[in-house]
Amino acid sequence: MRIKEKLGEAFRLYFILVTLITVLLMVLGLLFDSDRTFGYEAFVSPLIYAAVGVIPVSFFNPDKEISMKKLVIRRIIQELSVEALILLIVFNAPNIPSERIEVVIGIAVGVLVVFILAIAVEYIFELTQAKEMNGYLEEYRNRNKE
Amino acid sequence: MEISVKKIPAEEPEVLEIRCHKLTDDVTEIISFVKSRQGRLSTECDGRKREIPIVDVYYAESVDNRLFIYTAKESYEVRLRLYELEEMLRGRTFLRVQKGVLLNLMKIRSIRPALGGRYTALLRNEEEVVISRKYVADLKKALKGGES
Repeated sequence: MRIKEKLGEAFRLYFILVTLITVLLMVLGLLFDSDRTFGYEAFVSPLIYAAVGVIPVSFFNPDKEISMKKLVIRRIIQELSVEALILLIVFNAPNIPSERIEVVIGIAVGVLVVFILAIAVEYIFELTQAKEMNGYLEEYRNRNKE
Repeated sequence: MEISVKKIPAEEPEVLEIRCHKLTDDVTEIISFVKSRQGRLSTECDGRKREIPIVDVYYAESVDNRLFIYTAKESYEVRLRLYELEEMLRGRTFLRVQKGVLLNLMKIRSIRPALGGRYTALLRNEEEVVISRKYVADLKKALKGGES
């Protein structure tokens, strides 16, 4: 796959993640720390967490043809890598109450949910692409009638 | 092998004659190439030689250094490499969709996503062929009418 296409995919995933992480932070904040207030710097968090999520998914995703089983295994490894990176940040961030187990579990589950939702959004995008290709296919068939 | 080309009057039928000591792989390859230019492929099935019209081929797959072509119901072995067949079929309706698969785009019924940027082509004979993400852009380009 060409670099341009890979970057395009990475950017698309990045902005999907920014949106989903913003929603996740709101849900987790309301659940565990609803009284806290933040400055404008809080807007940067989803951008950073999304970047952390994009790296293992987009850049450790070689073009090598693999079976569906191997693809699922790869996705699980990517998810675990993202979980590990996010939890590493959580345990080192001074403003996240990582001593509360429910907060850590909430974040871990939230990351999993975001990961699954990101795959679902990607699938919807691919459905649109498939629909577009089916349109082109119809035109192609008409142009090259046997 | 010497090559001679003789011009003949328009009313005489064109003939390509190969005069050889033995039917070697090289000669077979030349025959396959000429037949492919005429719209047919020389194949083998259960030790029997057959000629298959290219328009009947659904896809070609390279398996363990052997090349097979698939029609609606049958499969045949072709004594060629995939890249040679790809070269022969250039300009026709065939496109590489996996490292080892050439697909006849005219035999695709529909395309649907298959997770991770891959797509599945559902063929007219209900078979499915995976389109590797590496070749999706080429497929789109070919379907839109650009050169693949």
